[in-house]
Amino acid sequence: MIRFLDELNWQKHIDACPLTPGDGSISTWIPDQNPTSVPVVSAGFKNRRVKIKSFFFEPAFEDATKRESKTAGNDRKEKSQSRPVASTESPDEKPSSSRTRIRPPRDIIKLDDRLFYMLQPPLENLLSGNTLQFPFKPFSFQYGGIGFLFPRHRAILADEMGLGKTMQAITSVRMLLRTGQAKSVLLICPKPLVTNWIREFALWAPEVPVVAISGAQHQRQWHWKENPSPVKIANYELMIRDEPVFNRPDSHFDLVVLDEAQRIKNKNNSTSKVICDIPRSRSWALTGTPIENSLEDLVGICQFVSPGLVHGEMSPRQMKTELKDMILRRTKDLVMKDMPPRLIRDAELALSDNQAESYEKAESAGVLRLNDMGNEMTIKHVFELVLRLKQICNFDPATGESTKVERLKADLDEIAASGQKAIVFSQFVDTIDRISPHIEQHRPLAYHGRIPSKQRDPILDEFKNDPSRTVLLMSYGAGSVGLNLQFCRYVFLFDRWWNPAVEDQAINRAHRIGAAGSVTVTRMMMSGTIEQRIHEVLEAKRELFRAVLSDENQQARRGLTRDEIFGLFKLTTPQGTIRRSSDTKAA
Amino acid sequence: MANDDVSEAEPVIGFITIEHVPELGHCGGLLLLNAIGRPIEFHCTAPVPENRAQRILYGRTYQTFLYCDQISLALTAKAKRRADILVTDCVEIIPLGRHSQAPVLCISNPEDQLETIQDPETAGFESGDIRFWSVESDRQQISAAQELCRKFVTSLPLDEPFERIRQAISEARTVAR
Repeated sequence: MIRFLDELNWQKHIDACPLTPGDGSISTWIPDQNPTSVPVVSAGFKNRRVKIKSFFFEPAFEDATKRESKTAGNDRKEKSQSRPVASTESPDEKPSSSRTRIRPPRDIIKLDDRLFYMLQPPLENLLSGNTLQFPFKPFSFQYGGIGFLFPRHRAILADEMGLGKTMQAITSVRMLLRTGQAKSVLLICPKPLVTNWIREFALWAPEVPVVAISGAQHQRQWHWKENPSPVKIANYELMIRDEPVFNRPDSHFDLVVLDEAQRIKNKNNSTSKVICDIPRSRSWALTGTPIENSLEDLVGICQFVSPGLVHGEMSPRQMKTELKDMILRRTKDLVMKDMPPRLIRDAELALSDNQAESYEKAESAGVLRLNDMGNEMTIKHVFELVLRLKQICNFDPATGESTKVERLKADLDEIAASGQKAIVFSQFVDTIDRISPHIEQHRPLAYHGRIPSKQRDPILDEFKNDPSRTVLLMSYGAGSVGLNLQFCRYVFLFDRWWNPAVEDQAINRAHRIGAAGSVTVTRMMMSGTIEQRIHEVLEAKRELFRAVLSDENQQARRGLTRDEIFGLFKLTTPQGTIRRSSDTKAA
Repeated sequence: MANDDVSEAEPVIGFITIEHVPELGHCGGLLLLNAIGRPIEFHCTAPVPENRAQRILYGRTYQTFLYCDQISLALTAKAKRRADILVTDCVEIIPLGRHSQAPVLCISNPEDQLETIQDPETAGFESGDIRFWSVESDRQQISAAQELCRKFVTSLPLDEPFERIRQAISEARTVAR
């Protein structure tokens, strides 16, 4: 304060101001100052400069819509208006409460690009506008799958069969086309599924022109080179034949989608090599069974999706870490809690006397023969013996007796009486042919590899629509993928396949979205035979699958389930042990 | 980039909020959306630390000074497109309406925030199912804003974009680290 007065030279002002008698007003004590002479101490509170980062976005979805509405003719407008629409919300409807966000993958580094995805409205909103219409309202986990696929250049959608991988892929493709992020898409699937994909595109993305590459060589060549359709569908079988046509320096796909991607699990086979060489920007693989036998299967698929990311020497844990951001796997147990259950019923049967005799003869003779072969013995010889024994488990070669058929007949009578339908799977077409006469009263239909492709769809239609057709006999090879038979509530595995994934694929023809009720799966196996040993191997494979693909919660579930506790005392129903599928997995 | 002729005439709704980042300060975010919720522009600030001297000087109005005068004004000044309406979930940003051409509406729970609002000119009003707060002068422009909000709300709830802003601020900070 003193210093402050000093600065103002206060005493000088007092001296200069003479006291006048009679003038006692205080004002006379205030020096007559020139305002400019008063020093002012200022504290600057000027706003600090706030650092701002700015991002500007093209309203891509909107623009694509406008482009389409400008180019689309009146016909298309009328068509789209007349189509049944489930998910479009009317202006009076409340917005969806669930919010699925598009999350950018780790490999998108640039902040602008990451924010482009993060700042988009929730998928429910993005897809509910007037421009993207759906025949059915997608499930929330399907939005999650779309949100996973859409921003990714490298992705494996490994949802369990029956959760709608097809719909999720089609919608993601549709969004890429709409936003202009993709202009040419190649979808590769097994040959029998081509028509299924075309049908699904017509359902979920009716405005997207799709062409199936087929026909004579010159026709296919035209499709590859000249057909302007943004989506081309090809089958695995023709990829090798047509490689010189599509694998040219000037050809490029913005996206290549592999359906049933386990087809390229062997990275050394020629189909895999050809597919991995396709020039492309984005690689998506769809498979319900990325691991069928070993981790090498997944390595093979990754060779297409993200070459070099994983290799066979990695442990399951390492592989899981590497693929965490690239692979999405959901199971029905997790996402569809109100879906009807899948009941697994192991029917352990005994060989008939004649079957047992034939089996023992074949086994001992076969083992002796293998021993005699010494160093010349190969896996092929062992495999032949296994097949022989499995066939005897199905039918006695001498008498035609079959415990399995007897059991099957009894079960089918019951199923037909209750107005339900059943699918019976076998590895052997010959077995299918032999079962058929035994169950003639159910007017069985057969669907297997020896039936020409063009005749297969009518068979499925007849099975679905003819109430007197209560049984469909299918081979694993022809009927395990891509078919929707959810109106069936019973599945029989007459014999066992070599890996659990194919069995699951088969079961999920019936147990999928839209299933009418619980699906009962009867796995037939003959006690004390090769089938039982195969069963043990299958269970070990399931364990490997879980180690890489299941989430932490599932892995942590190590306690005994209700049925496992019952199983400790070998408590069974008259039909055999009954376990829920989820419990089977935990076992 | 965002100023194409076609979209210029479309209504633009701005969403502005402040996120407190422990030990670093306050990050502001401004997201401009078109009427159906697609992003047009996004601006965010680096964390602005609190200033002790300013806090003493401004007392109870410090938060408003920081959120409104310092951060929000800087954000709106950066925007290339002019928002037709600014929606916020911070009551401290309501006075921004005195500085901006667009009315500033605050979506808030009146019970929670009534005591926080010290400004005698701030008043609450209903629009459909939504309760807003704004400065009196902004209420003159409210009818147009109400219509805009109503259209927007048919596709998205008004509080949804704030979720995006917070995630984007968090992402920007993660990348900055």
